[in-house]
Amino acid sequence: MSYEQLLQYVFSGITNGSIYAITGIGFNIIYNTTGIINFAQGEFLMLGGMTSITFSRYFPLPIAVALAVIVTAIVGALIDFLVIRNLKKQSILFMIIVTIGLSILLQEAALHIWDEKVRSLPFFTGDEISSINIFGAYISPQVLWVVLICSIIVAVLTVFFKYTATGRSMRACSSNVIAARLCGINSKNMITLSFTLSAAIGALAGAVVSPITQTQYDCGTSLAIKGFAVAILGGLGNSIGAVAGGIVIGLLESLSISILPLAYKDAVSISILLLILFVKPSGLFGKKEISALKDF
Amino acid sequence: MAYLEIKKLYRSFGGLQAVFDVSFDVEKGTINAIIGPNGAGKTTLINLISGALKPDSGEVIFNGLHIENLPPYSIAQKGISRTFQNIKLFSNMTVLENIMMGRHVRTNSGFITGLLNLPWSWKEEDSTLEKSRMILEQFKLSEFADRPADSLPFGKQRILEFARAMSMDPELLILDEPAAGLNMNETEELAKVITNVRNSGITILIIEHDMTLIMDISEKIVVLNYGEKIAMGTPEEIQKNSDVIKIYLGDDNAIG
Repeated sequence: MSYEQLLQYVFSGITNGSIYAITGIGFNIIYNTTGIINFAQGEFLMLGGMTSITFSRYFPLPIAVALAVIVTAIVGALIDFLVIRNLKKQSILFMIIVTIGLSILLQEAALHIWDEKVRSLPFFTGDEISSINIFGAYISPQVLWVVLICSIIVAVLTVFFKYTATGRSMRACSSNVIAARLCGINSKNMITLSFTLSAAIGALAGAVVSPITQTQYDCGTSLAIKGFAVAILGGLGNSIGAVAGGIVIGLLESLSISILPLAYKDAVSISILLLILFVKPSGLFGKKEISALKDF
Repeated sequence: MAYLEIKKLYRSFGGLQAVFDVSFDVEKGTINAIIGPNGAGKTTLINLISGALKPDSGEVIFNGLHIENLPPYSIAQKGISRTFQNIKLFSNMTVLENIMMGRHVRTNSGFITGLLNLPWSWKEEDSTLEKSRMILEQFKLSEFADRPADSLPFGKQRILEFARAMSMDPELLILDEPAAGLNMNETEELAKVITNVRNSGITILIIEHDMTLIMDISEKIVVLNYGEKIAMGTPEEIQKNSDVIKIYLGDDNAIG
């Protein structure tokens, strides 16, 4: 393998890794406030992609993406407001199964609203053949958009969780929900907020990757599995861990293409997921207590 | 009308009657103790007052308001704060952040302003930070400000939880076995702190097994046994009460 080829694989790995990382972060936000793994997370990406494609017919691209983020965020809020909040039995496992149901429901709804055709958003800058030469490797400008948006999301979330009262309240709920309530925090609203936030982030990710990966009603599932693998690898609940995990899985996947047939690409990430679950369930950066404390 | 009124409170868990027909009043600015053997229903009773549990029937009236069916966060906003027998801190957050969470009830920035980081929420954030640092200073925790709460020694964690409860500017402070695990010096220090808090006008409801502490500081004592109130009065009255002596020292006739 030549140097340029290697570089090409590395860049493609980082791109996919960033996408997985954003999906993983979406999992983490909801997991942190509720203990639920939201298996409808991939559908937020799909909805973000689909709605922005539809809006882009009527509005300029930035506005279309912004609208898509808002619409998906509302869907996220409604999921909590109409479903999760009203469950009689507030057991974690039960709620996780409900999210699997919701993911199927959202897919079917998307199939009816749109159709089974594969669509994609136009490239943010340039088009599918424009490329930038970096150290001899050719990458699409869209890749830079993906990495940029991923970095912005991580930076904004870090500031949000550390330096704002609302962000702190969400962390407080994840740390000790009883104490949080007695500090005057409405923990149910924090859960709604975590669904809204993850949906918004998912939608943004879904829109920015759409030109590269393309969007279809069922594209959420595979992304969700990758995102889940990344969140586990990085340590559930740890967003910096998710970024590291995303890059690791992205790189391994794209490098595997050079030795294994392309069809095995997905098998690589699933194997890593299984390996981590067997060997170190708390993930690379997760605390042991965290994985031991949660009730499933 | 009394400041805090507990009227005919009932709560059972399955077949166990944890709190049975308990009524008493608490006057503003006093220290009130709830004592009784293990399993007497003391913690259940304060869980009912702070909203962590809902009563099967009965009333809790605070400042003339019915609070028995309010969610805990809204009771906290009304001015009741508490500590726990087994300390409940935000363990993965820093000491300073724990206090800032306590200040949360006293800030106005709501959901949306906090989310959007509007200028006035930044200003409020600054004042929260300043006030929180003052509270740390007051409780001699400043040097630990940036350490994770769970890295503190046990005694300091109790003080931090107390400081967090105080940072909420409560009107009524409920303490669940604050002296558990403290040594004699720390307990004496605690007694002073509690008396000072009372002197600043805050009403206190305390559960404690340390009888010396209770008899020293409280103005009124409620005694529970098997979920029922069996006696109420000043420390002197309680010390002379034959029913109370019986449950603490055993029944003379039974020993025979």
